[in-house]
Amino acid sequence: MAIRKVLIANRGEIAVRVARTCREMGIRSVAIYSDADRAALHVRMCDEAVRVGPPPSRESYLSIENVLAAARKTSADAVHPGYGFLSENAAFARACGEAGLVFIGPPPEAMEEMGEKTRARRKASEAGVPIVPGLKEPIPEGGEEQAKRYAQEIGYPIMLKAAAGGGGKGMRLVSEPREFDAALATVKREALSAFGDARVYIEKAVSRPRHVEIQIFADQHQGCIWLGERECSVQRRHQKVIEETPSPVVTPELRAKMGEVAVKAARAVGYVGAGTCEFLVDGTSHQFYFLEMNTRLQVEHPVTEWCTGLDLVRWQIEVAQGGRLPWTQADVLPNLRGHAIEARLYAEDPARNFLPSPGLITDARLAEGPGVRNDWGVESGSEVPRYYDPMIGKLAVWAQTREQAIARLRRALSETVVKGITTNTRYLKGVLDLEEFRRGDYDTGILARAADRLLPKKPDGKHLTPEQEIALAAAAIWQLEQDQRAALAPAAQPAARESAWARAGRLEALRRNG
Amino acid sequence: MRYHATIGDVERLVEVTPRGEKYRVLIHEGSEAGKNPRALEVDAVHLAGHAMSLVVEARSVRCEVEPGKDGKVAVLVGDEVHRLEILDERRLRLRRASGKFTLEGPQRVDSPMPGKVVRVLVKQGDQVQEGQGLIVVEAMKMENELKSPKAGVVSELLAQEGQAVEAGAKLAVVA
Repeated sequence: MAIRKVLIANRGEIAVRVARTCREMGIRSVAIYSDADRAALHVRMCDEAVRVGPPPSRESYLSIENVLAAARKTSADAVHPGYGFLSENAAFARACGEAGLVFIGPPPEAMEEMGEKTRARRKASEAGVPIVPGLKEPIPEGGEEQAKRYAQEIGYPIMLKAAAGGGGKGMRLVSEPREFDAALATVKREALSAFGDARVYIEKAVSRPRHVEIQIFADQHQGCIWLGERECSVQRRHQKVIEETPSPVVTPELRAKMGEVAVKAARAVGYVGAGTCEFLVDGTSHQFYFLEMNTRLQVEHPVTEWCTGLDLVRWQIEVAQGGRLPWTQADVLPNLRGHAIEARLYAEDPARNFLPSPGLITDARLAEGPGVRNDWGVESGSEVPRYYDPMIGKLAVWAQTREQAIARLRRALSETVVKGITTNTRYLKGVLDLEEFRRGDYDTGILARAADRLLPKKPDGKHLTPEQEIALAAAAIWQLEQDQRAALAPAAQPAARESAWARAGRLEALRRNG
Repeated sequence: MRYHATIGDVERLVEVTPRGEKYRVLIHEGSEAGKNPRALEVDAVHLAGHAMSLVVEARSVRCEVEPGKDGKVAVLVGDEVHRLEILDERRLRLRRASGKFTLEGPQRVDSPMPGKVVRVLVKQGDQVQEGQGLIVVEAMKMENELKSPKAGVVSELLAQEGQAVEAGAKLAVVA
């Protein structure tokens, strides 16, 4: 069936991005908004808009009932969930179906299969997809010798991990068999004191792990293809910061192998629509292991769009209408070109331990010029609410080579000015300047290792940089002009409600004309 | 005209003199006039709003000078914001008379951002150590623990769990 009106069950930049494609396709779009987002950009980018509740997400964007009521009210015939919020909620997908709405995403059964990590890995493993080898059960009391034999089997180095662990505690790398006993004792002790649970399991150690994911796309007619990879190893606390394609570590052979495996995993669960298989790639051996599948459009999809020339949201809508994929696998490689990198702009202050920085954006100036794409959910005058994710926009660039793409993103970031709130633009520039990033020789630990180098440099207390000198000169000239104006018109009462700037402008005009 | 400027931790005496259409700016090495000040010839043109175009010698720079509420001036040079203070002699004296910032005496603990108080970890009258967590404020799905600026006693506690707060809201005082 032809979709005529799409309700976009999201906010911010992704709602804006989906609305753009709807408009290009002649499909009407419906925005939803919480009370905190009445004046948000995505509301103005859609043809219709419906309030779905108070600011907290669970009472608005996460309320299945309210979102479905908005769809009924506007007679929408389809729902695009974006990412986050309800996008991977199988109950929501099912409720859409029951309400007679086309859910632009995979069937709820496929979402459930991939939703729970351990279940997804088991399913993937059954389909012949490689997963990080390890014992699924903790080492039993008295089972140490057997565990050692198992470690030998999967091959050193291995990791010993607390079964109840998390956050990097209760973990130890064991490089060779003779370290095993001592390491096991230590991890057990740590696990007991940190989590009150001494159980430990074995997993093969992935050295210099890189996070590489494969974009897949499937239609309702058995068509299923991969569209290349995205390297997402530049992460801070599991939050992606910079993504690129192609990955500096992926060879054509590895790409083909990972692509094949990703398609296999998708087929195993009867997948439909856009999806992403996340892999861990061993930076030394280039072995790869399935992590999980994301059953939605990803934040970082623009880099894939840059290098394939596709509009993935258009494909999502066409597939949801029952259309066939316009490409076969053979069409993909000849159409992949150049290099794309994306940087995520967050309303946060890296200099103050990444403290969130919501508030009023007094001025936002976005980069332009060749090969630059901006996906933003805000503009000058927007309020960044404190209730939602701090990502305010994405800057993605394309160039013929990786080196040129880095230079282009660097240039585009320097044109990007956001005032009123603090953003991570300077931090992003610092990441692009990291020697290991430039070489493409990095893994998921890059930002943690470079944390000190990424902090703004402290002034040495003696010397000024050329930029500081210019700032001083500008401020001094500005202050002098202020003081001169004040001296020129000491008796003049400022007109009521006239701002100092308006007054300054008027005086300036007088001076110029006189 | 002479101004006393503070940028980062650096103090500078700055002299600015109109010269025809341009300005001559002298930046001395410290807070006193020295022998070898840095001299800049600056051509400044106002654009819309707070924006200025500066040509310094041959270098072309887009600047924005914006006075802040805290008395500081934010100057955008290219893509970096510099926060600085610029005072003439009279304002400098007033400023000095008002006393310096110090960690002696009662210290306010303010919310660094708009958010919600999710936990209050102390009671009024509690003895606290420097760096001890006092209050947890949540914004954008992230929790931030506000720590005590000094060792002392919680003399005022205004934060309440569940309360929405604005940036700069006074939450507690440690004396």
